[in-house]
Amino acid sequence: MKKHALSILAGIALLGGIFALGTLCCAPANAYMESPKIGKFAPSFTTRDTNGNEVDLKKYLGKIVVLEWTNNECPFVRKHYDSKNMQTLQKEYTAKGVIWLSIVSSANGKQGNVTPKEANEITKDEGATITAKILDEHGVIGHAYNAKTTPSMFIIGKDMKLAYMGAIDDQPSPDPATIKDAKNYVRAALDELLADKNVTTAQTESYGCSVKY
Amino acid sequence: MKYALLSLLVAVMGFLPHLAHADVPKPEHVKVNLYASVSEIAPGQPFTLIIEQIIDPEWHTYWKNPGDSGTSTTVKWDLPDGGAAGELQFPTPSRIPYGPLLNFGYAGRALFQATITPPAALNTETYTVNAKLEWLVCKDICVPEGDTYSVMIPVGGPNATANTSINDLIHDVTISQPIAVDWPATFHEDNNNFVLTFTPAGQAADLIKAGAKVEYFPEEWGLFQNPAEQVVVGTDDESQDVMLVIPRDTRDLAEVKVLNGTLAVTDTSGTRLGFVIKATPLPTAAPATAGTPVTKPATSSTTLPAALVLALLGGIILNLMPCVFPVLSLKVISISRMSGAEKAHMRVHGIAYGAGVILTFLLIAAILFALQMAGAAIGWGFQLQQPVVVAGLIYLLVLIGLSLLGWREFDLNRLIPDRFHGNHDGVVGSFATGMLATIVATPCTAPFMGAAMGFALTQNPVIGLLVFAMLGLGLALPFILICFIPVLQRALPRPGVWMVYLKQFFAFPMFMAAIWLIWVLAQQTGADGVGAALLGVLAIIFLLWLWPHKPATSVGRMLHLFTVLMSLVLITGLTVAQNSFTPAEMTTTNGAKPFSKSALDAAIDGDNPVLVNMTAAWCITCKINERVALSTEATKRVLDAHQVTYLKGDWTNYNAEITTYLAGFGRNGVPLYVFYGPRDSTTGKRPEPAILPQLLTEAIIRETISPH
Repeated sequence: MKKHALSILAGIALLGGIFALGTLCCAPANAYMESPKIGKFAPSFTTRDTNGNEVDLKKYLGKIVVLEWTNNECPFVRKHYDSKNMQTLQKEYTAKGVIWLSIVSSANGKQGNVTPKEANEITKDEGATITAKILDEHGVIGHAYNAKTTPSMFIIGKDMKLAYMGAIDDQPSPDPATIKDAKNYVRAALDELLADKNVTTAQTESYGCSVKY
Repeated sequence: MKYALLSLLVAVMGFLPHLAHADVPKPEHVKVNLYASVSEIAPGQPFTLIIEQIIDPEWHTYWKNPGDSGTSTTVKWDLPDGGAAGELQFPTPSRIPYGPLLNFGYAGRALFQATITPPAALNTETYTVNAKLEWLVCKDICVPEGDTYSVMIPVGGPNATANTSINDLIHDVTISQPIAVDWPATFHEDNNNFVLTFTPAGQAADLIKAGAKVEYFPEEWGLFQNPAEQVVVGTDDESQDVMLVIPRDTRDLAEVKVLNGTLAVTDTSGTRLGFVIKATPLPTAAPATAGTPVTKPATSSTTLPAALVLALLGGIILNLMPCVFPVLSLKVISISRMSGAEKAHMRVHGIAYGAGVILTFLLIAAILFALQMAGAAIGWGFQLQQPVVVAGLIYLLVLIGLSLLGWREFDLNRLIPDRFHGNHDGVVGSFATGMLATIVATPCTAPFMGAAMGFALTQNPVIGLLVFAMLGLGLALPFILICFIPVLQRALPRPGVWMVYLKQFFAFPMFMAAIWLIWVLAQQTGADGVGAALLGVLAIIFLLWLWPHKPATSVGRMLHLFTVLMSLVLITGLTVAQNSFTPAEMTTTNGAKPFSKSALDAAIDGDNPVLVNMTAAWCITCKINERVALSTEATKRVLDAHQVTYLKGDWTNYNAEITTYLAGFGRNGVPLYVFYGPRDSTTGKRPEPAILPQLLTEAIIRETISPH
């Protein structure tokens, strides 16, 4: 009796394995990164922040999550931090329950790559009210989101689907004077998401320095 | 540097650094020089201002679309003496990679130009142009830089005097600036690729035909993956069209109404020639004539109640399909063999079987919906578009056939471990039989199922799952009825030897279904795929033979295990390899041309009637219709007599164009038959496209094409 059962189970496992392999395998490797899509599930990740705590995107189901790619030496990031533009956004929206994750995808030895201690110091010096800072040294999360520039903003809705990706505003210049009259896409999207409305401008061209993979 | 010396004679070239911006650092990595194309201007006569950027080695500045990152060079003009300045014109850019990213920009030297028009009345002796230039220059880090540069040119008249000292520079500018051309150009999306179609002329056409390197730089972001290789799809001798195919990025193509871009063609001496092309979206099958849309809008014409009824009917009829009938019959017959105690639990058996069927259908539907949400464009039958799945099903059918013949039998009841045997003996077996019946049913599509499935997959998952559950109910219904109605049970024949023969007989429809799937596989993967699948079948039969013979010695057992594992590896390898075999050429009958978006558009643009047949090798209804109605002599005569363009789409393997076309009619599976009536000579319009029924006859085709 047990003999037969085993052989049946082996057979079913075999077929299941074949089916799984068939659907999963044989995708050609790409020379470029694939972008996530608006309206589809945002790529999930589990990692550790600069304080060693676990960060699991899936745990934020039901909350709005902002992913901000940053490099503290990039002139475009400096434009938003020296003017306190980024910190204002962070403070205002984390107070409203938005999860704000700053991600540094600079590889070892490249501009923007910092140790956890340095990263925490930078966060403190700049007065950034963020939920966590993540050092993505190997660029895994960066590749999952196809983050190309710093700054680069991704907003994930309460349903874990990608609601916004692109630039922080419509002024792709390193000049801080352009912030005043700029249309801030992140602010607009967050206000719409907090009111449970659809995001009108869901995808824009991001600007900034390249992410230093 | 000779430019600088000579230019001092005719024009004052000065750096007038006023601090335009505290925030933009003075240039460190880029040196900028300004030149005027005239040594004396004449009021009202435009001249060219040349801006030369000399960039440090390993650093680069950016084009008007910087690519994956960076920002382009900008200029703010200040003309204190009046006049107007045109747009900054960028030279043909280069592709500059950075890790997985790609930028469009310049290294070494970049020559920009702009047209300046002095006012018609000038009362100064010199004409001043101030240019506040700002740019981003990057190596591995980026630095914004900028400064204001000025030129003061003597005013002469009545005609401007050319600046002959910079003839070489002007020549370099002319070559490095792209020229605007009026080549016809369109862009569209195909199978997750961005496709630019254009018709080059002159020197460019010859170069491209000879295989010159071609690089396209769009002025819009997010259309395609910048780092990806841009594949040139050759021109055939008839059409001069060239297509550039690049994997898509995620920006909605509908946002772009006009696409300007620069095409760089490298000539035989290595010089890059730039052409500014203006492309418009490729018109869809919506009309050459204004007004009447030729394709139906993507709303399903089936309503929910209708879909549920169709699903139920389809499920019932599915019981008659050669894949399902043996499984069902054997289950029914096993009732006669049941003990009295078990017969009392007959209804439980019925419910268990029904549960197995419905749950398996819901599982398949859930997988379909999950894949749809993840972005795949799939339809019912998608699983049969995967050669690996077809191979797996072949193995399963052979296994079942062998079991029915009595060699290496699988008794699903024996799946249960001993401790679960008890009052509900065999009920789990009934559940498992239900699952099995559903799995072997998937290759078969019954009539009515097409519309129901098509409806289901275009709705939200909850409604879709409901329709699938209905289908499951239909499939399980005959057995459930037998279990619940004692009259039917009593009508079953007495057990006897004949049952053994019947069981063995049913092996043959199973093998027939397996052969049919092998034929489908042949269409999908050619002779190689069939060879691999048959080898896999042999390996499985070998494994079955080997398995029960457990040797006594430990060495023997190890050898046994080793051989078993190697067989499993072989089977897996052969099956996975199915994905890499290329399909055979599609055969067409009755003058049918292969379907493609462009073929359809061309046919509809014309005046003749068009018949579209969407079919697949694994679709039995399609095959029946072909044999009975579509590929007959009589139909051929009708098609010829009315000069019908007959397009046949083969959906045996995944094809995005066909999937999109089906979706346009609210469908998600095949067959689909659409007839476009001929263009009316007085109104110039075609009538609405007519969808033919799923079960065709010659009469239906005749009536549709030439109605009385």
